[in-house]
Amino acid sequence: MNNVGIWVASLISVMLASGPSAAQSIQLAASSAQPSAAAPPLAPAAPEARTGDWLGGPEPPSGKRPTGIALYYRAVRPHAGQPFELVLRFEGATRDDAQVRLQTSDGARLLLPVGATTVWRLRTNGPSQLKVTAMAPPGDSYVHVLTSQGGRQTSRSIALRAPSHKPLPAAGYRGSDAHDARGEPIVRMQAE
Amino acid sequence: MSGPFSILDVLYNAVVELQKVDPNVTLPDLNVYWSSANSTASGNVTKGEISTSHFRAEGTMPGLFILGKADVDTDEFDQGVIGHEFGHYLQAHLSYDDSPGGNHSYVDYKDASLAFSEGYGTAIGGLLSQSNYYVDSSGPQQQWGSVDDLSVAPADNVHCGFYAEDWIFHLLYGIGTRHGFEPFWNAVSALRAGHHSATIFAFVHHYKRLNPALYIDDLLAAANIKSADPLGNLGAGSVPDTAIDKIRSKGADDLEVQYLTLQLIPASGAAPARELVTPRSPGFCVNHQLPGAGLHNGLGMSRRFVFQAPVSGTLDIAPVDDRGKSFSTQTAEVMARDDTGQQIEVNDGDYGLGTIDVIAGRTYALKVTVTDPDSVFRGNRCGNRLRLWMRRS
Repeated sequence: MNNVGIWVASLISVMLASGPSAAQSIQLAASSAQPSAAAPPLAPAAPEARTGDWLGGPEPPSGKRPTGIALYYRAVRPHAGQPFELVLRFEGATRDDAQVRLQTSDGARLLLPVGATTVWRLRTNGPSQLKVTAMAPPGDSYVHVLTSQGGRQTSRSIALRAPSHKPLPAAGYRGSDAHDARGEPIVRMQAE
Repeated sequence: MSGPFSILDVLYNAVVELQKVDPNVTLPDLNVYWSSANSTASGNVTKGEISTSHFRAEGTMPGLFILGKADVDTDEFDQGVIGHEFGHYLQAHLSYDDSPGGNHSYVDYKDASLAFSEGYGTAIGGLLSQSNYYVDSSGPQQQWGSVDDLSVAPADNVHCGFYAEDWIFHLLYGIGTRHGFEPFWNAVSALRAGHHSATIFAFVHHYKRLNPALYIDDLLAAANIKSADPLGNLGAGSVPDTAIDKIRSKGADDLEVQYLTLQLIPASGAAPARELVTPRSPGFCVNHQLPGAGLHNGLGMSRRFVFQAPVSGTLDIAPVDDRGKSFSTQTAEVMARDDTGQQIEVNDGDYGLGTIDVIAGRTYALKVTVTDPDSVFRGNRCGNRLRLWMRRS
């Protein structure tokens, strides 16, 4: 059994000793990874109406016990090593403890000012919206969006798929992401 | 890498428990897809982008998909999560499941089949692992997470009824622990037969039928389950559920009605090429005004019908709105089941949602689901009717 298993077993032992009195979810062990005692900043408000094209949506079907917070996001297709803006919109926060935490993996990075937070409280009187600058390495990497509310947590991950080549000129581009033997992008022009 | 063994431990122990009540139980092959790369991203499952832990009954990769991405969300040690998804596998292969799927949460009013399927999954996960705790760890160093005690009644602010998965899992876990797993499982298995949906009502019907001496009425009352009829018909004098009445739903007065009975009346004499056999079909509402009901799986987005076929033939299935305009296949779909428990294939037709073939004397159930909530103007539309047109064989 690894640390997780040991930790869960320990937790249950504590719970059995103390006897939970309600079926509501219980926040697990306190640690530096939990939302800190000092309240994180409140995420900016978003327009009430969601307009335009967004990816994401309500949480996917699962047996897991979700938060009820829907994540929508939009971003341009990233290019490796180049900053790009990622817009995150949150709907469905109804409790004062609603929060979001951002993480990255597989080489993705958030470009934040020194000391800037990666944890925000979510507004309960309407949708919240975050705009962050991210950078992706070549290939697949991820920004993980962890929401919590009412003692429940949900993770949603945004895949950043960055081709390794430089951005292609937009005009006349009809090709896919094909490359020649030297790794140079193949640009296909429409024949007139 | 002890993750796979942890998953196998849950599955093995579950099968051992099943074999205790049915030594001859036969389980079809089950693929379990777990990897430390399995994340909550959606996309290419071969890269681990599985969205969440879930069970797929069909498709090119049926099986259990279990999250494993460290510091984000891991489930390989969350026995309740694994047990829940394994419960869906058991329901799909050894019972019956007509849940519409889709997003759901503990604050939602959902279709009866979804509430049952999700509540059952959580309950059987606890029963098979013999644990009343449903633990789901996540987050940095797996130190986030939640615990639900299945044996304790949900909080007062949680919806209570056939549409509420939290109360369903509490009820089913309570039944399973009070009288043992065997009568519980026998009732679950019995859902394979009959034309009804897999709802808490059908479960309770079979449980009581198979185990008349086992008392569960107090548990049913606490969970606001007011009928043991497999079709959920309420007895005379039943007190209306004010949580889902016309006021709360802003217009629908029939959300507590599970099935509408159709009388099929074929014309006498020579059969026309196609005839309307439901000239007096009752009206019904579609509604998604209640919290969490704004998806295709919400309470009020599916309507169920039952009828007996007076003659053999092919039926065109065409729900229409209060102005007689037909629902399109872009906004609605239909499922059909006969009284042997077989799901009936719905074929493409040139009218309505499709066609089914029926045999005289057999009983059939139809479940019409509005798949596009935006098609329901202002979230409520009443006066809809189901029209069936028959071509006799």
